[in-house]
Amino acid sequence: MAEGAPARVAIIGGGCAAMAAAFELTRPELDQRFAVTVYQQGFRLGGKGASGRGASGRIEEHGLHVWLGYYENAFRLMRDCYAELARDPARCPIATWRDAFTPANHVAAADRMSDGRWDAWRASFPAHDGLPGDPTDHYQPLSVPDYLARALSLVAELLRTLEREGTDRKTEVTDRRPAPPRAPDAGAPYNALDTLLRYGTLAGLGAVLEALRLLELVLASMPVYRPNVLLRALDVITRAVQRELQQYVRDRDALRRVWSIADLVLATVRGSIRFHLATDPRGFDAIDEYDCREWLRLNGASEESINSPFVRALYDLAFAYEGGDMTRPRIAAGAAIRGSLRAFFTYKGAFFWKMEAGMGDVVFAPLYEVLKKRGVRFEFFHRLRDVEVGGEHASDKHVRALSFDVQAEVRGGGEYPPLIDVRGLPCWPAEPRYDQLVSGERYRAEGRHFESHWETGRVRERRLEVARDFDFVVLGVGVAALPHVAPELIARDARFKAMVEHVTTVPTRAVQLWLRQDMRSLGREHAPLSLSGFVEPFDTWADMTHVGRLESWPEAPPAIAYLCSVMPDPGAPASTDPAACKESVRAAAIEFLEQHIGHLWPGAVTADGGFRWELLLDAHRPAFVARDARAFDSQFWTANVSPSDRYTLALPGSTAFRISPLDRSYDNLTLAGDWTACGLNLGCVESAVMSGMLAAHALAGVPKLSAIIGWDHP
Amino acid sequence: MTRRKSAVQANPPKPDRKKRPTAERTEPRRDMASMFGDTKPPPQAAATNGAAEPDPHVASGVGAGYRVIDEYLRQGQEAARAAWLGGFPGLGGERGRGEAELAAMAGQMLRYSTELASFWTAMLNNVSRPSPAGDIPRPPAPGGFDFGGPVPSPKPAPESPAAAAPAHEAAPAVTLALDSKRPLEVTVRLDPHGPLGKLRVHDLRAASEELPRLRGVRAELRSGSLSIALKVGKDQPAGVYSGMIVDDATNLPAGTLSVRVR
Repeated sequence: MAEGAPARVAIIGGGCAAMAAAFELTRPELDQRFAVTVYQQGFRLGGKGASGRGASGRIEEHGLHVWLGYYENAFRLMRDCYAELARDPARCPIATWRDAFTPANHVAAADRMSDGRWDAWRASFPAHDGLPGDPTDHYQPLSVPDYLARALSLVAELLRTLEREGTDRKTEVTDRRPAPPRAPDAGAPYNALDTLLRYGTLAGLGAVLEALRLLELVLASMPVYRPNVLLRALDVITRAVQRELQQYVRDRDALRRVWSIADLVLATVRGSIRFHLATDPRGFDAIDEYDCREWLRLNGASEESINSPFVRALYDLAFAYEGGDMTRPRIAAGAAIRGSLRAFFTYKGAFFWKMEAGMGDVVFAPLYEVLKKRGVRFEFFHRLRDVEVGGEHASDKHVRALSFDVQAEVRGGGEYPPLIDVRGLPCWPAEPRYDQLVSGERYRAEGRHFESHWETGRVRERRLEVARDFDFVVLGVGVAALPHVAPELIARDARFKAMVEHVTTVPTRAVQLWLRQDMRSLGREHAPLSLSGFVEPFDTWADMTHVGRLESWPEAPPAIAYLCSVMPDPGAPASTDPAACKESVRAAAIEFLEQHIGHLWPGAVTADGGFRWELLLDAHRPAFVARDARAFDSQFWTANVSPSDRYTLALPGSTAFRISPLDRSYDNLTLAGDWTACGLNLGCVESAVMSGMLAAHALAGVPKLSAIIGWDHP
Repeated sequence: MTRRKSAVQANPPKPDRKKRPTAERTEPRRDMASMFGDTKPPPQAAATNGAAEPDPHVASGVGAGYRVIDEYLRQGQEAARAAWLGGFPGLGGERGRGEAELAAMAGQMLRYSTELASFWTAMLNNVSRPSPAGDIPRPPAPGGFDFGGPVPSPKPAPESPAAAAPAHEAAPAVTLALDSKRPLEVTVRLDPHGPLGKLRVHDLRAASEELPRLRGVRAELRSGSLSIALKVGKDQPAGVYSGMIVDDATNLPAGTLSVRVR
C-alpha cells in the first residue's frame, strides 16, 4: 500500500453500530483518511432494525422500534445524516429528521384491576426543553441536580395523571408552612434516634428524612459504624410505614399505582445510599451483579411495587426475560437503573419518538445514501464465515484474514442497488431485487432467505487478507452470531469465548395488523399510545396508524397495530427449525386475538368474545373480506430466532464480560454492537450507536470520547 | 481517592501493517465524585458542641424532615379521626370523604418523595466530596437486614467500611517508571484514609489464573510523591492485572494498582 494512502476498513454488518462507525470514519473533516467497505449478508442494511416494503408498500419490520428521548448520540447521528443528505421537501415526504421522527408522549402500562379487568395506566410525559441530539460544543456530564429537576417534572406529571383518573384532590393540605427547625442534635445522635422511633409508623417518610439528617450529621462527626445503625433503624421504620400505608391504598387502583412509584423511588434512594453509589468509582456498574427487582427488594421495596405494571413494563421494553421465559425476568440492576434515570430524567423534547415510516426507510436508507455519496463501498450478499487471527506474540495479535461466502452475484458485476421508491421515499424492499441478481428468478422461485442463519447457499468463496485487502476490521455482527461467523476467534481467545457465553440474547416475535376500522371505533378513546405489561404472548402494543400514509394502499388503513414480545428460546441454531418457530408465532397471534385483544380493543371482538376477523386488511386484495382465522395469513409476523436477529440482554453478572470497542487485544480489530461494553450496556439503538462511535474512535481517535454523550456517566 | 493513568506506546507500528492508535483510555469515567464534585477536601467546618455545622443543604434537609414529621403526625391524627367517625369506605362511612382523604395522602406521599429526592440530591453532592472526618457508610452485608421477605443470596457487594481515619490533606503526585515494550494503561487508586507509610505491592493478577502474574512491582512514597515501578515482558498476555497496595508494616490496604496490558 502506498504511503499516505487511506487506511482500508472492512466493516462487517450493517446494523446501527456498524453504520455509526462507517459514518464517523468517513466524516468529511477526516479528509478521506479511511476507505470503508461494508460487507453485509443478504440484501439490506439494518440488522435488528431492518425493515422492508411488501405488498401495497406496507412496512414490514423486524419488530416494534421506538426511540427514547435520551438517545442523544443516535439522534445526533440521524440529524447529521439528514442535514448532509439535503433532500428536497417538495419531492421527498421525509426530507428532514423532524419529518422522520414524531414525538410520542402518551405511554401506558397494562394494569390488572382489582375486579380482574385490564386497564391502561396512562401517563403523558411533559415536553422537555430542547430536542434530542441538539448540538453541543461542550458537553457536560449529567449531574445529580439535573436528575432532580427532571424528577420534579416527572412527579408533577404523575400527580396530573392522578387528577385525570378522577381522584378528588381538593383536600390537599393547604397549610404548608414549615415548622421551625430544631437545632441539630448531632452531639447526641442516639437521643435523636429515640425521638425518631417514637414517631412510629405514621411518620414513615418523615422518618426517612430524619434518618437521612442524622446520617448526614454523623458523616461529619461520628465513627463510621454508627450510620449503619441509623440505616437499620431507617429500614425497620420505613418497612412498618409501608405496611401501614398499603392497608389504605389496597383496592384503590389509582392510588395504588401512584404509591408504587413513590415506593420504588424510596427503595432506589435507600439502595443508592447503602451501596455507596454516589462515590463508587464503578458507578451503577457496582450493582450489576443484582437483578433490578432483586435489588429493589433488597432495599425495601414492597412486593406490590416490584410487581407493579410500571416495573413489568420496564422489563417488557427491555425484553428482559432470560431464555424468553416470562417467569424469569432478569436485568442487571445497574444497567437498568442507569437507563431508567436517563430515560425519565434526561429526555429531550418527548419521552418517546416514533418513526414516521419503517426503520429501514427513515434510518438506514438515508445512512446508505450519505455513505454512498462519501464513497463507501457496499458488498451485499457477503456472509462472513471466519475471522482468522495471527501474531506470534501477545503484542502482535491481529486479524489476518476474513473469509466470506458470496451468496449471489450482481448482474453486470457492479454494486447491488438495494433501494426502491415508495411514494417518493427511498425504501428497502422486503425481498431482494431479484432482477438485479444473476439467476435472480431462480432464487425467487426457490424462496431464498438470504438473511437467515440457515441459508447456506453460495456461488463462491472470497478471502480477504490483511495489508493486501484491508487494514482494519470493524466486527459489527450480533453477539449471538459470533460463534458462527468467527469460530477461530472464539476458539483461540478466552475473553471472547467468555463474552459470548455470558452476554446472552433472546429471540423475539412480532406481529403487524392492518385494520379496517380506526382505534376509536375499536374502543380506544385516547390518543395513540404505546402500551407494555400486557399478557403473553404479546405484552406490548403500539398504535402505528400514522405510518399508513407512507404505504401505498389505495386508501391508508384506518388503524395499524404492532405487537411484540420475547418468545421462548428454541435453543441452539443446530436444533432450531425457523419455519416451526414462525408457525408458532402465527398460532400464538391467532390465539391472542381470539382471547385477549378484547381487553384492549373492545370493539374488535364479537358478542361472544371472538375476534372479528373481517377487520383485517389484505395487502394483496384490499377489497377482499375474510371472516375466519385464515384472514390472519394476510398480515405480517416474524420469529426473530436467527442468531443475528436476537435481542441482546443485560443479565445480572454479565456486563463485566462485555469487551469494549476500545479494547486493543487485536491491533487491527475493533467491535461494534449493543453487546459491547459501550457505556450504556443495554440492548437498544443508543447503545449500538455509542458502540459504533467508540469503534470509530478506536481506529481514528475521533470522535472524542467526551463527545460520546453518556459514555462518562455514573 | 487518587487516580492516575498513563499510557505508554512502546511498540511503534511496522510499516507493512497498520495498527490501531492507542486510545486515551478504555473505560468510562463513572466516578460521580470526580465528575461532579470538587475533589479537594472541603474546608473544615466550624464545630458546634463538638459537631460539624451542617451546610445549607443539610440544614434545609433538617427543616424538611421536621416539617414532614409534623405534617405526618397531623395527617395521621386526621386520618384516625376520620376512620373513627366512619369516614373510610368499608367502615360504614361516607365513601366520598374516605377517597378524598386517601387522595390527599397520596398527594402528600408524592410531595414528600419529591422533597426526599431533593434532599438526597443535596446529600449526594455533599458526600461526593471527601468528608473531613469519617467515611460514607457502606452497604451492610447482604442478609443483614430483616425486610420481612426473602433475602437474596450474597453477592459481591462493595467493600466493608473502611477504618475511620483522617483523610490525606492532598492527593500525592504519582510517578511511573515503566519498563515495557507493550502499551500499558496504569490505574492507581489510593484510599484517602489508608496508611501511607512504607508500601508494598502484591503481585498483580489477571482474572484467569492461567495468565502469569506481574511480579516485582514496587511502590514508594516519598515527599508526598508516589513512585510506581513495574516491568512487563513482551510476551505478557493482554489483559487487566490488579493487586493491592498495602502498608508494609501493618499489611493494611492502602489502595489498588491495575495495569491494562494491550
